[in-house]
Amino acid sequence: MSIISAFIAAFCYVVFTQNLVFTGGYGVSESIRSAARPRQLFLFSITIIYFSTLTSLVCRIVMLIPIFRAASTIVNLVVYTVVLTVIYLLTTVIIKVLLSNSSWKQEERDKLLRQTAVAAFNTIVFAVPFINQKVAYTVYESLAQGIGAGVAFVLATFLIHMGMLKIESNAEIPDSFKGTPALFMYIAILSLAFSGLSGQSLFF
Amino acid sequence: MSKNYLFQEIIVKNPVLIGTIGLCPIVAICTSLKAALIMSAVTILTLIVAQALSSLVLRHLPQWLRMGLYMLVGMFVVVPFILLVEKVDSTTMLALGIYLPLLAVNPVIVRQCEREGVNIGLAESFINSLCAGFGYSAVLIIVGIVREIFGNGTIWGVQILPITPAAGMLMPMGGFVVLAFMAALLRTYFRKIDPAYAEELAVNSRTAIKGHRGLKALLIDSEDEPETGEVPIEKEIPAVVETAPVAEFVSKETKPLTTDDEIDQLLKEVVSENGENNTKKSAEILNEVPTEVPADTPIGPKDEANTIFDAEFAEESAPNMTVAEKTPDAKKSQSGSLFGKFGKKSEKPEKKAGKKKRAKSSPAPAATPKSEVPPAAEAQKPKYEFITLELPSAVKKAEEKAVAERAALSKAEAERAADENAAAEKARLEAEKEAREKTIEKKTAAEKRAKKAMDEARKTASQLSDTTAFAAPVSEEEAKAETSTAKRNHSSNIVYRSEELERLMSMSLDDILNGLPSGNGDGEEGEK
Repeated sequence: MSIISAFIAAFCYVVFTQNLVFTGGYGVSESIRSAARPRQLFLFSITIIYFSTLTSLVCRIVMLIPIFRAASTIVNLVVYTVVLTVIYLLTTVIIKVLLSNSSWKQEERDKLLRQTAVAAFNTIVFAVPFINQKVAYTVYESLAQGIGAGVAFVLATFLIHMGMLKIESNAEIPDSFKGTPALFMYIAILSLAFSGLSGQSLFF
Repeated sequence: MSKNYLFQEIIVKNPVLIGTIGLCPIVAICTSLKAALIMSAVTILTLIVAQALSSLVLRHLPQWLRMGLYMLVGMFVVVPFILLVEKVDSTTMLALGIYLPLLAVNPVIVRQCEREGVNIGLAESFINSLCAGFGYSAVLIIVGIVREIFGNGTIWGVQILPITPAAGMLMPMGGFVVLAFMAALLRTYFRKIDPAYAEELAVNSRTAIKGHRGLKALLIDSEDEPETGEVPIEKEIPAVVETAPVAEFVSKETKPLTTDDEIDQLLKEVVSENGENNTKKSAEILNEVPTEVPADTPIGPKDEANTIFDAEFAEESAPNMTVAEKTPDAKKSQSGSLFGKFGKKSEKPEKKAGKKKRAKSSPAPAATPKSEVPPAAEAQKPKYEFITLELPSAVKKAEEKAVAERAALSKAEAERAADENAAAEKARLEAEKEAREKTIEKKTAAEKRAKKAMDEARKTASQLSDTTAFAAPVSEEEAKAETSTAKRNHSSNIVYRSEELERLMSMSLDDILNGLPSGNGDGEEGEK
């Protein structure tokens, strides 16, 4: 029971209370770009969730090895980089094998592989193992953190996309602030709202 | 490295304010000038190394493998920096936290390497990475300075403000606000020198999230380079309802021509299917289609890569012509266009060859002025020239007409709606007027009736008063006597009732019961 409650608490914390995109800025660039291309959102979100979950879990398990337990930031960086690269390469090889006999064109395969790379080498995916190490999460909590990071990305992308629609239909925005500036302001307000949820003091 | 080149790479192609990438370190940790300088140094060095490697070695590898290796390159650059910062200033290293290691996956590196590094030589790659790094660093430093001043009241740790105006600037929210104002300033500047480009910088998204239609469908719909370009500008292209020959061909297509196969297919339809007729038709099309599209044509997405490439392709196809004759964009540049004003970037031949394929699908304007070649000769031109150079202009023309028709239709609808509204308003006013008149009439009638009743009442009263005065005049003394008698009776009645009440209260229950009328046997008890 305590494992389940710890899992749910870690998940909710990373999705709502400390949304990684809005309160940490992780993956905000990719979130904006995905929000501008909603048709790619489904595939991209699944890939992000896949990589964040797997990387978080594997890195946490690797860090249980006594040699790495009290390692410095540099060792952590090297280990996480190697783990993420290996996961990415394995995934790419699997995709290539699966698609080798399919009717997909070479161009379509290249697009899928490109999207996979973008999803893998993303700050939100790469930050999750560091956060796990910093907060000393257990394996279950690390799993929840990985899944939650992906879900937080999806939530942020959806909110940004809805904001884009509103900004696009709003004719009262000054000319100088149309487009990207208005979008940055909108994300700033969302960031402020999520920071309020985490109980931070804003101006004092 | 000219001034124009620097301007393009640092301002026009700014990865943060134009491309909206690499935001994570800026909004999260860039809260002081010192942190901004450290991040800038790491980013510039990583860019130089990664782009040099991509220019020398990585260009020969497949893209999916290259993108994995960029992270390893970033890691090898970041690790020495971490060691250095830890040794020099451990406090700053603590403040930077996990964001310094995260620079290994900075998307700016992937973007620059994939866009430029794999297409250019080592020397040019070095200059290009420096420019991109400076563009990114400029934003980092400005954001760092502003946030440090407003968040801490300091600059490089020295107190310059007695109070901290907004400590919230140290949060990610502050980073986004500063970025918003910087982007607005840049947009204002672009609007002054090239309004069309400024409009295209606006982020337009689709009107709704499309449903999932299968993995393959999603991939087919996706853009070519989602990770390396600017934030996409996805404008809805209006349906073509033009009756011109080109519009007929365009309307047959359910989607825009984006691949060589589709263009070839259309070419076969135009040239080969009906032989001579279609050849004539082609000649007609070439006569009708303008060779130049107005610079302010608001159709279709356009980024600076396409614009630059258009000029490059034109130069390649017609090297003896002047820049002004080659492309509309080049002409536009002579009149103060953003890109033309600051020159064209020179590229290696392999880059041009690599982008040739893209030219066929992109709406490149005509490279040769139409007036130099007679229509009949144009009809005999090779196929690809007709499709690649002329058809996009025809599409744009047809789309322009469709847009104009839509605008006229909407205007007529608006006028009709306005007429309907005016008629409804008029009817409402008339109804109100009638109601008001009826109310006034009713009121007048009621007043008349009331006046009449009053007159009658006065008349009756005057008759009655005459009768009473004549029959029984009452003196004042008699009236007073009657009044005093009534008062006395009332007082005696009150006195009697109070005396009766006191008597009843003074009696016991037995006295009351004994005072009742006597009865017999059970009946008496029952009555009691």
